[in-house]
Amino acid sequence: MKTPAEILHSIRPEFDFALSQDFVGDGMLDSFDVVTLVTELDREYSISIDGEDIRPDNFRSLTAIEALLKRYGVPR
Amino acid sequence: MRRVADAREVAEALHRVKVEPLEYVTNLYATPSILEAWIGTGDLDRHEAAGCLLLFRRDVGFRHLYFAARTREALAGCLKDPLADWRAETVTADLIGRQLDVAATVAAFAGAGFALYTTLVRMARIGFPPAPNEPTDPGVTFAMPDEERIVHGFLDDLLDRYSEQTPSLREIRRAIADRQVLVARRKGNLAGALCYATTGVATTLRYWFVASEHQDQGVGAALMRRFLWLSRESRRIVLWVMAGNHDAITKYEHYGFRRDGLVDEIMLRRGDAS
Repeated sequence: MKTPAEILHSIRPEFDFALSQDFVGDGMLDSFDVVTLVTELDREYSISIDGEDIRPDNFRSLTAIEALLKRYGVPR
Repeated sequence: MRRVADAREVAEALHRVKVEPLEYVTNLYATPSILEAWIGTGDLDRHEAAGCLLLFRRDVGFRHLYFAARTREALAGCLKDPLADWRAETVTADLIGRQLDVAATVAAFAGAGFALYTTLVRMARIGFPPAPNEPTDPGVTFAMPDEERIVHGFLDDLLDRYSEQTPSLREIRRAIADRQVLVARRKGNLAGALCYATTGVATTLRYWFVASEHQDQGVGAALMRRFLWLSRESRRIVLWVMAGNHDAITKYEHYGFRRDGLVDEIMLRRGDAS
């Protein structure tokens, strides 16, 4: 099973996400990337991220993504 | 259709729609702040049916359609509703993704009376080394605030309204204030313009145009060199170009841009009343 970091790298291999605490503000993820990320997370972890949770704040950092996944029952 | 009063309405509608993880389809990529801007100007209406949300953003003489649907079948059913009042108006929809991935959604729109208007392809320039010297063409400068109408009129004359989304005067004003509009002048006249937007390490090249009477005079090259110099800290620069514009694609490739596999199939349906 891929980790969130691996999924991020597969979407945007040109960026080092470890260097950022704000993926959206730093331009590493645009709005299309966020929707792609949601699709990949849904598929990888067999969850369905609610439409209300598809907002930049939940995808700004690895910590935020992991917190979101935890709310959907995905263990760290 | 009903006017969207606040962002909460959209969020709640999305909550109702998105319940199937593997079949959800959408072209709604607007951030909450962009949605709120549309709502604030009273330009957003919605239509909801079983498992499908349609949002319509008003433009001049037509609407942009955004959708979020539980399944593609729910989307197709919603689009085909003969009693929906939006069918009286001209509507466009951008279907963005890998070409194979959007084909089925294109078919759903075609089944509801939409036709493919044009296809855009995305190109990206990633991690290129910076230009060795700062370009010095004195005719290329940042646009000044008092040039907002000239720049807006220039773009309005050249852009295709269905596929290239002419920026509003307000958007041009903001971009000029952010120093993200370059203009090239020849003998005092506006010969070309280049507009872009930078967010952190990524830049989007939004428009790059040269007036017909100034083409093949190095105006476009001067604008591009200046832009690439200003964006030298960007790790990734992207742009959208019409798939059939081979001349533009060749020029972009000359500057290091390559297709990244994403397409935007723009579907158009003329209103029943037109």
